[in-house]
Amino acid sequence: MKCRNESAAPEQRAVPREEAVQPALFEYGDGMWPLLSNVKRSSRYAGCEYGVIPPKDGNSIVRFCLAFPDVYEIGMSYLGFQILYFLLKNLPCGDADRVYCPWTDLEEQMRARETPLTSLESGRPLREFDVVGFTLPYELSYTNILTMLDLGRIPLLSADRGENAPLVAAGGVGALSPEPLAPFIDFFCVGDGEELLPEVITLLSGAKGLSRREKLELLSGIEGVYVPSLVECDVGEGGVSFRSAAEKRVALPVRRRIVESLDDAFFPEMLLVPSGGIVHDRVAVELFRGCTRGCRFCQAGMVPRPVRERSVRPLAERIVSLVEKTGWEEVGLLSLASCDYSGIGELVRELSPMLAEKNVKLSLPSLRMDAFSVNLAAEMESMRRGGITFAPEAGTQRLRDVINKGVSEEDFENSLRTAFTKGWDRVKLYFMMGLPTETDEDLDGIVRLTERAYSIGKGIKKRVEVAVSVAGFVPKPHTPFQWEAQLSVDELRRRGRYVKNRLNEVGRGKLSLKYHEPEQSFMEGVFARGDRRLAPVLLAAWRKGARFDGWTETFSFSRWMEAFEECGVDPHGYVSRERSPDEGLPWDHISAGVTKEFLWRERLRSREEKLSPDCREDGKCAACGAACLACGACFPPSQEGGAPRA
Amino acid sequence: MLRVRLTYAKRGRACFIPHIAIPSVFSRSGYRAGISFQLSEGFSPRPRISLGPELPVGVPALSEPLEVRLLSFSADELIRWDRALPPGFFFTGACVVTGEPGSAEAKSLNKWCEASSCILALREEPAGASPLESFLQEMKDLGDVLAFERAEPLGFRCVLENPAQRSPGFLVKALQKRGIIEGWPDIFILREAVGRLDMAEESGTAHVLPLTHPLSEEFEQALEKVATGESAFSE
Repeated sequence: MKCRNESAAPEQRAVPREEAVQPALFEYGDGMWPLLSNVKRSSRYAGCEYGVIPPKDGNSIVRFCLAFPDVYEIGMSYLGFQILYFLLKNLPCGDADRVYCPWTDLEEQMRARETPLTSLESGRPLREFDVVGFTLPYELSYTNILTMLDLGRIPLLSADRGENAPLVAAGGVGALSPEPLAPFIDFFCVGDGEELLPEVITLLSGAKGLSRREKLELLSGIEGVYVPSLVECDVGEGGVSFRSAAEKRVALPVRRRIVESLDDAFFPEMLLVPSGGIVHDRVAVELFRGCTRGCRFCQAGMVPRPVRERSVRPLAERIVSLVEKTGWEEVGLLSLASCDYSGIGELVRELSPMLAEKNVKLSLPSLRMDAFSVNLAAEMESMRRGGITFAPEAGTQRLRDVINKGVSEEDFENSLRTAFTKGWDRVKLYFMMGLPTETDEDLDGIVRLTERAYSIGKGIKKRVEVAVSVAGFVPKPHTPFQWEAQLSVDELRRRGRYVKNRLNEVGRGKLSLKYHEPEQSFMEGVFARGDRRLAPVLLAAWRKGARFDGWTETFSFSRWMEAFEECGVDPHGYVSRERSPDEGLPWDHISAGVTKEFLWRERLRSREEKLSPDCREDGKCAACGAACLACGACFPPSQEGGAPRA
Repeated sequence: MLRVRLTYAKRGRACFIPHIAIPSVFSRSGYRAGISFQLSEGFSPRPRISLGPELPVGVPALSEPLEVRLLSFSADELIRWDRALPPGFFFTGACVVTGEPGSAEAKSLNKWCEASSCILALREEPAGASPLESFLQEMKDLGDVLAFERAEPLGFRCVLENPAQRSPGFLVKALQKRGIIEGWPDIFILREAVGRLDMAEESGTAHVLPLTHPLSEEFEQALEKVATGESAFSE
């Protein structure tokens, strides 16, 4: 792949280049300039990225605008978005551009001046693309999708879109429980984009000239594509049920598509390098996909099974090449638990000297609480400069067994002792509150562990900082806790305050605590397990001004409550209610890989406080169902665990 | 070790990249181009890059100064580095600082920059005499603006002394105070040059000379010689 600003032909030795000295009319004529000079953080809208690829020409080209429903500096920190950009650019009949959500100040000005939302690179209005494809990273970003469609002059409801409007697509985590967005999205992509997008683009390139409906019917034939307008959804006594609404029957459930081998999957040779500073400003690479630890609360761990690893050597080579091509000062080795990567030691040993020579930092964003992980991080000079973060998740052994978090009291003690001995003096601990079966005793456990961490530290170091962050537990679809009730706002707040007060008593100001806004956890809970009846509420709340609901500065709970009231929808039914095992769930038409039977078994085991071992460690298959995908990437099932069907 | 002074243009939407992000724009592009930086001492060594007087967000520029310590430098490296810059950024020239320590030339960039020159234009110019003309005359009488003239094809060119103190923001505030504009969206400013002041005493005309030269054949040869230690750089 060749980038626009890479090497110049030898005869072109001019400095300055022609574009550098064009007359002032160049900027004076930019209609966006007066708007951008009047907003916060205008660098969000500057583009000015190294590595962008010029647009393609041609009638068969499918123009795909990758849309991220949050601000630039967050969206640009998502590795998946970078992979999809280069993947689309790499397809012979695909082209990509990107758009991020304008902050409320710019939105206001765009409305005042009737300026439509355009893509970042080519400035093309959104409505002139063939596809506008949203990533769904978290539930509280959904109102931003409506903002972007509306500013892009695309009708909000699929049913209102004319033949010339772009197809509106969505993928990512949210596509696993897509119903609250069903009336706004023409088609969802469920699973790995590397697998799905080439098929979607090829199909659409050949379908130019067909009607919207015809295109959607064809798309619904691709495994992993869900077209909500072709699927009828009934809500009755027994919960939610789905049936095909098309003449040509749509196959249900829609199966999540997976890349079988990451080594063979598309992996960009270049990344876009922003100029204005973003949240994770570094080369990001994914070591592996999937997780077999089996933490029962964790959707990101349950869904992307089976585990698929990249091979060490090509990965190391690619990392060094990306560092050279991008000029980035840091490399982040990403995955759910990077230390679970079987080649992690080898990779770090291989990379460390090469990166040190280039003065590039290497970081592991997540560490498990075991000696191996802490020692590994300690070997990485650059890791020692920051704080170290652990996630025990729950305060007592009992509750950690309930959630299948395989961290013992001993692991906790050892990890902290090692961390402080190796030189760290700032420790951050992540916990959840509101987990199933939690009592005040478990909350006391959070306080006790925090205190313990502090005293271990004080025994070793002079100055010690322990910061605690407590998130309200939100049950997620496709996890063993998908049937559980979520705590009410009041009870979450009581528990948060309880832990905070207790920590203040024992810590006397030395131990700091943050906990998530319980009202945001409530809204996250509503949309995480919501159905189609939420769509009118989303629309009503957006019309009332709901924007950037994931940001405390813009979130308004009362606005949402008004919207529920107006639409006659009871939000508590989605959050505070325990579901029965035979209730039809609003995501039953999406098969993530793990079976509902496995999830229910795990739920029962959680109540018995029984641990389920990691099948990669013990070689015992838990019959999660992901191997049923028969891709060969999953470990072969052994007899003891009960074999899944082949 | 070489102390290299560079000037760069910041065009189009790149004008929204804030001053604070500029060092990493140049260090990242330098690494991409294989530039050999001299690194700072300490815990996290970084390329030693210093900037000239701050340019406010939203002001495009034609010749902003920048200083960097390099282990080696050549015209080829300058071209490679220029091509590795993100869209909107361009080098406009370079020179190697050869002045003795303590000499005027070897001063810090901020001290070495005597004056700046800007193009000023209203977004909506009212019919009749431009309020900018009387504004600039008033500023000149106050001694805040050294000289001004009508510019082609757009607005007025004005020269200000002491750019570290008098940035384009200073002009915006003065315009706001007089009710000529409400804020930044009403005025367009482009900074043409920051550098040495060239003043013809008799006619009262003033020019700002950029701190570097564009790349030319003679300049290339001179640059190679200084960079390889063959000769001292002469202006």
